[in-house]
Amino acid sequence: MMSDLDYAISQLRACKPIPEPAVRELCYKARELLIEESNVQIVDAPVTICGDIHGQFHDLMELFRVGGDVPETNYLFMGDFVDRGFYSLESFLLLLCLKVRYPDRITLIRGNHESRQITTVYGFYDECLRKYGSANVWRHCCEVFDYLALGALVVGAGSSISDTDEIEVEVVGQFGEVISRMKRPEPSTTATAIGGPPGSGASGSAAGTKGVNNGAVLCVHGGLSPLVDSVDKIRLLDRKQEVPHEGAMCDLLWSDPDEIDGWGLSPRGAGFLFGADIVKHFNHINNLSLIARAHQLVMEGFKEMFDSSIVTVWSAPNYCYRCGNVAAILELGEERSGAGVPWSATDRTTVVRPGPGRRYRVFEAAPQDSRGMPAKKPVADYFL
Amino acid sequence: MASSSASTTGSSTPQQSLMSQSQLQSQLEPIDISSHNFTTPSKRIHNQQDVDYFLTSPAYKLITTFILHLNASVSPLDHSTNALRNPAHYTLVSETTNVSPAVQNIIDLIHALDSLITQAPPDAGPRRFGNVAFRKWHDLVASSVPTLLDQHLPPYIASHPTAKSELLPYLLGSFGSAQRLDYGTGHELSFAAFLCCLWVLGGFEPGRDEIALTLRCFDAYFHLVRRLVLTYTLEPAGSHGVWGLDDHAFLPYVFGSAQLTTYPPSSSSGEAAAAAEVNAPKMVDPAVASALEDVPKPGDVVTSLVVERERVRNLYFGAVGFIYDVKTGPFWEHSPILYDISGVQGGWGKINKGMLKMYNAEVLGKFPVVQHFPFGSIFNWGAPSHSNHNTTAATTQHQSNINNSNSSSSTSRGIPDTAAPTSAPTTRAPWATATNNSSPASLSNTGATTRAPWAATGTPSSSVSITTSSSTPSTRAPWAKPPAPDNVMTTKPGEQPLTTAPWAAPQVPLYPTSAGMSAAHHPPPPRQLSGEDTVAPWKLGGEGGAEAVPPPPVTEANLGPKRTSSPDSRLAASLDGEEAEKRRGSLGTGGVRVAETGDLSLGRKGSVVKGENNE
Repeated sequence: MMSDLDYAISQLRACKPIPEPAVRELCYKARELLIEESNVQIVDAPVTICGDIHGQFHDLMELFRVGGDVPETNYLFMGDFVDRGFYSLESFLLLLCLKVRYPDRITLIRGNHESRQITTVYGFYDECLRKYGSANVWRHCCEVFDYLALGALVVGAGSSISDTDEIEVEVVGQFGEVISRMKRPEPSTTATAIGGPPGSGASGSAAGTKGVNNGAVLCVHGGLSPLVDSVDKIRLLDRKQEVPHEGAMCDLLWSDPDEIDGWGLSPRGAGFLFGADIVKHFNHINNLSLIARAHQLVMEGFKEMFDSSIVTVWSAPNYCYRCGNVAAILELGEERSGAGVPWSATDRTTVVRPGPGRRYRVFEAAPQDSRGMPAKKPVADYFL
Repeated sequence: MASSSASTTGSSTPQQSLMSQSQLQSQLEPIDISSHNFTTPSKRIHNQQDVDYFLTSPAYKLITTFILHLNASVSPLDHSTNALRNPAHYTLVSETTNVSPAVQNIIDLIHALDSLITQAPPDAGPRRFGNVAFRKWHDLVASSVPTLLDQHLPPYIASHPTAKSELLPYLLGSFGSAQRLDYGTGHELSFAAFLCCLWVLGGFEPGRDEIALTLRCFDAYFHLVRRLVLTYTLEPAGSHGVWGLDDHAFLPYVFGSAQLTTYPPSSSSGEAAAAAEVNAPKMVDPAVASALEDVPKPGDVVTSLVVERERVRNLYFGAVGFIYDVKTGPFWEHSPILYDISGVQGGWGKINKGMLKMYNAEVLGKFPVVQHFPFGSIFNWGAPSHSNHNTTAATTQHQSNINNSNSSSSTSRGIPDTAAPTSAPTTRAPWATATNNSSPASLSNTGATTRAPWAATGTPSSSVSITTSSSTPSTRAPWAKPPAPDNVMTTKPGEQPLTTAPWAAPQVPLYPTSAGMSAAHHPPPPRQLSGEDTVAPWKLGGEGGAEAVPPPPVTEANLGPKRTSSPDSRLAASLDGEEAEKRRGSLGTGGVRVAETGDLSLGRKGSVVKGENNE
């Protein structure tokens, strides 16, 4: 017999909301699970890293089609599941169901939109009211938000995404066709700028790193904080709260990399801008090969910056029905050669940690089939 | 929003918030330019309390009167007599529309700005979203507008030594933010204010120019804006995604629904039919009867063929048509608010009335939208710039509760109380106090604490230095203009679109954020930050403020369309005691004000908006 959870999953996969009591139960289970997680979850490669979803449920289904389903594929979602789109509720609850059902096969970390204050402004609150007639479901979800991890550390990623060649970066289209490949430069190569994969449409944004891999990959929704100089500092935070307006936790969810030196004020009003020097220094002292983050729309779905020391992954195609962007997910394979050295926060023997092998799967918005036309809901009070 | 913005009339009766006919008229009465002292408009709104005050200011009265006046002027239904005029005379392409030279001049001005787009072609280079060439266009506009005003304004205004400097900021603020590469309803409001300035300077003729101003001049403006949005991929300012009325515009929905109003608002289809029946015998003119059949139904916005036909005739459909242009996917999915409104049974008059109320609450009452609206001699602030005065006492009390909780939570995290700026020249986050406007910020990192470095009032220190071309953590309202020309935050092309922090303005922080606070104890969200549209009324009941008390569940029963009591009275009734009193008062301002004046414009008790009789 199908369990309640499996039934909920099947409902949500069909983009149907589940009853309020089921949401309450689900959120309760999810909290029990998430409370055990560290602020920075350790995740073993292989893993597929995803960026913002923003309630684009049909595109999330497309993501699973392109990247493989749970639990076959191990996923890491970097937050911003909700707001702006029409199906924040279905998207978030499905991910949450999958988390409860397959806790070791999917990791959810918190985005700046997983917040009471932000969801009241950007749509999720309205959506819950509209779909349930009360804010209870919104409240349940917000309580889960408070327990989401702030980041994740992917360890054991291989240096190549290929068994045979030393392929460092591969861009694959939504039907599995290889758009471009870039071999890892010889270790002796000097650190000159390397062009992006030709024809990838990635505007040369995948620059490649040299040498062999060993560092871990830090995944966080926004970026770095001037108050956090080590991954361990993140572990010390008390995350079980609403996202503050300032401070380390806020910055991790709000900051953006930018072509500046050092730190800059963010036009967002929260978090900071941080430059290449900040990223490289942070990666070095934390023995990281790469920071993966989301938080910013990129037309090509992903964008590597600062000599591939940081990458933005964006997973909401045709954002807001009008931006015309493609989406991407980032696959990190596991170390196959056995030569990989376990990650250690203290081993800083190499000056620049080379990046892991990276396969970007790029995909477009789900086709708009006949999604039907729902009944019109009662309008806002203004029109009564 | 409506209620939180609220308030000033805590002790006054609803009647007091009604503008009398004479007040309405005097609001739009031309001023004598020769004896008038013009001032360069300046920013007055620094926080939510200032918005509350704004809603009682002469400037607010002026802009709402102007909008209501134009709104009534383009409605086929004469609000004063309930007489039906020929709807065919109220389309965007009606040949009966009298476009006077005064209006044509402004349309030509808009076309001149439009033609500057060719001189600032969009950059082809890599970018994230918004196109930086928009800044070039904006610069071109800024440099050519003084000359263009000389050419297109009446000579007595153009030649006046100081009048132009008061008009200029409103016009320049009408076309989006060059800094953030976005556009929103705040910019739209600025254009309405520009026209309103010209109106009170006697630049247009009452009774003659209203229709052309609304249906020709505004339409030209909307077209320019849409072209800008498309050319430079301008981000919606403060996008709410699918949960906003529209990504960019509001007034086309106000005026457009007025254009289609042929019978008074009714609350059911039955009444609507009855109203139509009542009107029918009056229609002796077969041309009117025929035109009436051509008026699209609210439900037609989901029919792309009808939208294509009507978009050239009607502002509402023009805006919907633009949505069809830029968005893919089902209409009900990407525009659920408009979709729901398309099911309103009370007719276009009902929709028009709702749009006016919504505009009042979601545009004029929203701090992020109005914060950069400048005030001068025409849009008169009418009082000391800060909000600690008597008329806002009611709100201030409410607000100060929140502020207190804010400051106490801040204090608990080590932020000096002095951190809160009270008269900062630019609007800034309350915690963003260390940086001043002029000097590059180089702030100390306080290390072990979780404070953001800028919260420190400290002097430059070595550990972390914040380098920025702008030292001002300016307010995030996406359309916000840079605080000062020499202080522009250089926004890279790649920074749009982005989610801005709602609290980035000195808006009231919503939640105690002290570490360790349990999730269950978060109070429900106050209404200030409610979404662009439907949120506010529902959330009222939840805004108790007391922690650990969940807001009363909103049920179908009290959300249902059949409710007879007004939303405001219901909401007020759900509260009790002092809080309720405050609410009722506040609703009297924020929620009811435009509703009431809207009633005026709809002809209640013979009240007439000036100019209407001239038709």
